[in-house]
Amino acid sequence: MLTKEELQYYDRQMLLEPIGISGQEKLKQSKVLIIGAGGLGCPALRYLASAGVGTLGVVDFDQVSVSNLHRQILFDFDDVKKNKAEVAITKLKKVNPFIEYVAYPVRLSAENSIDIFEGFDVVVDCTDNYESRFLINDVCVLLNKPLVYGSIFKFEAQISVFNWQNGPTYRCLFKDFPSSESTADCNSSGVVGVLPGIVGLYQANEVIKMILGIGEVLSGKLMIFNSLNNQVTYFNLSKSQENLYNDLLVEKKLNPEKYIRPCTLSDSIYEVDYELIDISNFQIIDVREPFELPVLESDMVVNVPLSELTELYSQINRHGNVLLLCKSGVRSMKALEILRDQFGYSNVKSLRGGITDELISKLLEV
Amino acid sequence: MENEIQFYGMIAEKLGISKTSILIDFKGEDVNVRDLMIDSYPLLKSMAFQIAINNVIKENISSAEVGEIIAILPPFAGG
Repeated sequence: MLTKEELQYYDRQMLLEPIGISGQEKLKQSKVLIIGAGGLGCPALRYLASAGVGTLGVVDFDQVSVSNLHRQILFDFDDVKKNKAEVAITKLKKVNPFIEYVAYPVRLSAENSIDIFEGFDVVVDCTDNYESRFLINDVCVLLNKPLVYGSIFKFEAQISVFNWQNGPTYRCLFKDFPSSESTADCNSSGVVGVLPGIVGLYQANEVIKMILGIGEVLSGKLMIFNSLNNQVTYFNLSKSQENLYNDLLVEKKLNPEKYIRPCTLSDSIYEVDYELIDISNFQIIDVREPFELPVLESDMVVNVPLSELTELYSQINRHGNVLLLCKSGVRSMKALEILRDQFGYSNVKSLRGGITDELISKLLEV
Repeated sequence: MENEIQFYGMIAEKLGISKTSILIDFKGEDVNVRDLMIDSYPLLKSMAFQIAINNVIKENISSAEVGEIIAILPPFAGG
């Protein structure tokens, strides 16, 4: 039942004939999980909160950094180094105090995802890596939840709705992890904030249509939007005839190893967690660009940007342990492959997950 | 008559082209576009991509589809 204040708040939206009070109550009853409070998640959250989705869950382990602010519109300078899921909810409560919010300030994993997803009706993938995207898809298949997908590469975006009313899933489009050569995120390839803004709103719009039962849901179609020429192209996608989920649906549980990129599975010796190594035994190579923050002020660290690696690789030791690192672990893995395949290095490892505050503290201690 | 090929995302960037065209030799049977693309652009061998012909996701093209657009669609991960 909507309160007097809520009726006033949602007045303009309820004027629309397919919505009205009954539609607004449907929205109030709905529970939507947003995974990733970044470039896509911030705009999606802002509009889903304003639309009156009754419960919004937000999953994000990451902290706000200055380089997020140009596109992650829920955050400002005062939020830097705070958890994104928690800050997002603090901001959203000021926008719409009439709905419930649940923060999950954790890294989504095969171990915790089922418990998190179970209480929600719709899942929105606003992440920035394939490991999470395949995991989210599989959990949605296992729990039979619709998945609203959005992703970007530079000036292009892909949008679709998967697993909606027995429709195709993400694996019907891309069956398995791409190689690291096909991998790029906003931290490594760059982004103008407007594009994730547009895509996050497309995702929010699909959620609202599904909850209200209005319009046409973008299921069985992949939409590609190019922000440079405003071209929108739709591709028809059918459900795969292969038994993509046989093991998953029989065992009814997730195999954590399936959510590690193949290059790290087959070449697991190349990727390491800093907790498991003594970093004082490594030459540390920061492959980020010189302008990127935080600057790692340590004598142990040498900056060899990925963009200049083929010119500057001789600064990297041929013997002893070498640890490559970057913001997220994507570029360091690319650097590793270049060093290994083009220059014959066999002593390099890549830091899984990229630079964290804990690592920075550890470097200062050494 | 040729088929236009449209490359998207990182594949367009890596190949340095977003559009080209190809004359397919059907030899009386359907042609697997994935194999054709990898033969024509060896860089694609190590890259993930999906194929669409006339805006429908599928792998094979028939001689009846000469003149249709072939789209090469890599996955995107950014967010």
